Amino acid sequence: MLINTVMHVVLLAAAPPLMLGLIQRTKAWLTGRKGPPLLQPYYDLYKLLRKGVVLSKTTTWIFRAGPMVTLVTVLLGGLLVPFGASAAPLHFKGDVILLIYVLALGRFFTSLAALDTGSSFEGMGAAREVTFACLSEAAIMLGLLVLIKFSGSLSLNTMLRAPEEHAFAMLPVASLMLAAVGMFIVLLAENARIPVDDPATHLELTMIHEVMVLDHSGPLLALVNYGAAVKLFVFAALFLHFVPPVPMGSPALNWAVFLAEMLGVALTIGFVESLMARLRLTHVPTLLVAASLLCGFGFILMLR
Amino acid sequence: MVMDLIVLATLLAAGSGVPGLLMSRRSSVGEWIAVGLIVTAALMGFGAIGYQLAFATAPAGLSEPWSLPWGRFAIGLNAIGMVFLTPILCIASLGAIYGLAYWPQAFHRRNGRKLRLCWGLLTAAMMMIVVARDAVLFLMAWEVMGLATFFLISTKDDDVGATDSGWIYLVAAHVSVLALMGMFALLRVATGSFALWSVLPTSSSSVLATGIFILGVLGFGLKAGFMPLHVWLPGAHANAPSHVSAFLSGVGLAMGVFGVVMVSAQWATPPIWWGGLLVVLGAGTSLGGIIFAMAQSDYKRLLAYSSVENIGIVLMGIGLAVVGRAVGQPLWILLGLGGALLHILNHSLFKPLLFFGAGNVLHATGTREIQMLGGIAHRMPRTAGLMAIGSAAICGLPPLNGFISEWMIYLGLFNCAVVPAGLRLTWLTLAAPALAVAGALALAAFVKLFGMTFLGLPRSLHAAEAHEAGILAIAPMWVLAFGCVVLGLAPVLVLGLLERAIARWDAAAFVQRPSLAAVEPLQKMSLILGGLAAALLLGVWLVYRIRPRMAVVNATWGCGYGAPTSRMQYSGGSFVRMLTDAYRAILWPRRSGANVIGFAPEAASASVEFPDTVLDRGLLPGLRMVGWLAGRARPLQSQAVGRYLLYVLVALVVLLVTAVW
Repeated sequence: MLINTVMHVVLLAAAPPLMLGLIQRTKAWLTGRKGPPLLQPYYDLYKLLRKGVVLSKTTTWIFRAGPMVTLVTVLLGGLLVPFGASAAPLHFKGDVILLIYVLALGRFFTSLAALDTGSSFEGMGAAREVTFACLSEAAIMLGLLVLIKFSGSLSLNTMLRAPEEHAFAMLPVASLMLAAVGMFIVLLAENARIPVDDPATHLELTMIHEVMVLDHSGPLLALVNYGAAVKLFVFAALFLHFVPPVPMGSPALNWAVFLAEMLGVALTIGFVESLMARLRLTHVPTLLVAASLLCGFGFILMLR
Repeated sequence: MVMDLIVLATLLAAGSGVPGLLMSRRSSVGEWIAVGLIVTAALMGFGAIGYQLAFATAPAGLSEPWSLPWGRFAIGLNAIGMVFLTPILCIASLGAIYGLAYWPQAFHRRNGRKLRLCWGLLTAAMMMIVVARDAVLFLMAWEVMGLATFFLISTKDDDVGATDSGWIYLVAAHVSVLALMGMFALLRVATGSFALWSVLPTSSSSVLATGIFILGVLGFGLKAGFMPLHVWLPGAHANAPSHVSAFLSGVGLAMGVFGVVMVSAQWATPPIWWGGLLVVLGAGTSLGGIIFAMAQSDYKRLLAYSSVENIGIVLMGIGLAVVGRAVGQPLWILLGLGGALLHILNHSLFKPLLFFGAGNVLHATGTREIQMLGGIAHRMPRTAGLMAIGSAAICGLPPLNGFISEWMIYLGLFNCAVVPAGLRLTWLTLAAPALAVAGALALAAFVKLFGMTFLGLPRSLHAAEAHEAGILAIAPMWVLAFGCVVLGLAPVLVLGLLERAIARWDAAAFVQRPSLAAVEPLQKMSLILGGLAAALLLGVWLVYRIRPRMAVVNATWGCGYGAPTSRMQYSGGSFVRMLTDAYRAILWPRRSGANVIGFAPEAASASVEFPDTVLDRGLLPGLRMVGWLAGRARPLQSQAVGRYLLYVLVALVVLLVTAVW
């Protein structure tokens, strides 16, 4: 139990940048480039932490608080989501709502920090962020309802791990598959990946997340980037629970399976980003509505 | 003893504005006396509540005959009443203190005394509504509340916006009274007396019961602002003085909710569809309210529509409790009603906080347009910080109080998917995604409100020359913000009161006082939220230490452009443009202005407005049509005596024929 918790916390704190490195490597590999080293995101964070900060005259305390608040919220979210078949360190009945709302707290501060600069680019990014969140929040809620209905539990720890605990034949595979596709779209949208956003460019016209943090620099930017990596990691762990699982084994085996699955998610994201173009901004809502509908259909299939 | 205190407090509150009337317009002694009386009344009220909670074993009551032909002077205080009485007393006194800074007699000689008189009357009327145990007394208090509110809304009686909103409110209030008169008449048929709020012996499926329930939802819904009955609300809350808006929005709307809570408790087992209706109405109200809120460019109108949203959330909880009572699921009652009542308490903390803040901004800048503001956090740091707390709380963000009540309602809704053994009520769970979407929209609305008003660069001279409000305006906000934090981290403080109220609401299901903390992991959540709060504070403190060491302060990066102006910022309208476009079928915006064509266009302007779809697109044109039809019928009134005699004759013949036939 204690080892589980330590493992969870260590992975949550240390692994997220590696996942970014894996995605970058996958993309490089698919496009025939050599690509940056796997540990490049860590080097970047280290470099940024040592740098100075440029603050805009326009900003207030919110600008500086934003990245830190966002990081704290995603870390708390990460403590609530069980990684694979192992239990999450924090759990209580109804923690599913806390997960959604604590992520909303992060969004609140990221958007305000963006508006704090008075730049229209960052205003644009904040507007898109809060707009698309309205759609993705419905999708997440409906997706989680599938598992709530299936497991009869309101705690992430039990409901998310319910697929692992049941025999494959008893699983509502159709519902889970529909919800999994929906949740994968949400994963891409919430973490600013292609086809919704492009983390690699700084072209403001189609961007969401990158454009909100244009004015952050030095350690603040390090916090932003690290927070974004943790968020991707948490969403990937959440998404994995919708994929029909490998049955539970020993604790060590569970962790191995989880890491392998996360590697799979990283590769999948890399594939998607290499094979698809970014959508036009006006088409993003359509994609997110599709995600909500998929999760909704998944839930309706549970109602028989 | 308890009731005597309440009666005395009510009288003190009602008379609090009278001494001021006897004094000179120039004298500011009257306003201090009024505040003193209101605060004394509130302390006495709190004393009564505290005594009742700590020592009393039976509900308090008082019943005296009076000289009117109907009813009696019957009052009583139970736990539900206490839940609603607490915010009345709290906001009445905090708002009165705020009013010393916001509406001082020295600057408002014409209407300051009127405002204080009506403030006291409104406080007393609402106290009486909560404790009345007789329909006649209730209606009298309800009417006093309506009239006092009307005069408060139209405090500035030389301002067309304020008087128009006042008239619309007055009409709505009287339609509400009409519906309530009908409801109490039917209640009298059912029980044979005007005594209020007992469990009725008649079946809940009878036509009579349905009539009482529907009339109650209509009458109380008009006050509470259920969509589409919210028509009076945005204009009234936008145009009233800000502390009046705070009182009306934070507490006044709750009176309508109080009515719905009491009416729905009158049958041992209500039909399921009542609860279903309330849940659907609540989901629609919260979504509709927040969609309109998000679109507004007037920050006080935005806050007013957000009240509609919050009332919708409360209504969902009540609906869930009614369904739970209908199908015998005590857990649904506990979570639904508990969440609803807690949300009423929470809303009475953060909404006045936000309206007080809005008042400070209005006072400092003289404009209600978000588009004209920006960057005032530098000049009004205290107001900005307190508004940030209020905005986060109203979005239901942890670790503040709004989260706890929404969490309870979510859990209740999820339980519909989990618990039912062959109940077929899983569809109720779909209110949870609706609540989630409303929550995300609320976040968009309040990021817009706070970000566009307080952050960035000033968009006008008004904003550039803003000044911070005085201590009398800030201190009440501190109290409310403190309440938001405390209730967020330690909801256990009010659990006892909520549990008593729930036990009173459905005495049959809860013979023993239920325990929310035993059913739900509130303690564990409080611990985690406390940890979150500590981590946030620690983190922000760490980031704050960056500044002296290695920060360079410079202009915002402008894409290399050399002469950025504040007009190049994103505006409130553009911030929500994608959302207002997505919901244009509901919002029905009114666009006007020129298209910019060619290489060297003429000066052009464009504007977009979001009128209230129900009021401005439906009700007012509809009423104008009625007026036109009535005008067509005018020839019937021809002033000729012979014609009137003919009418009398025709009426007589018709009566005779019906009598014989």
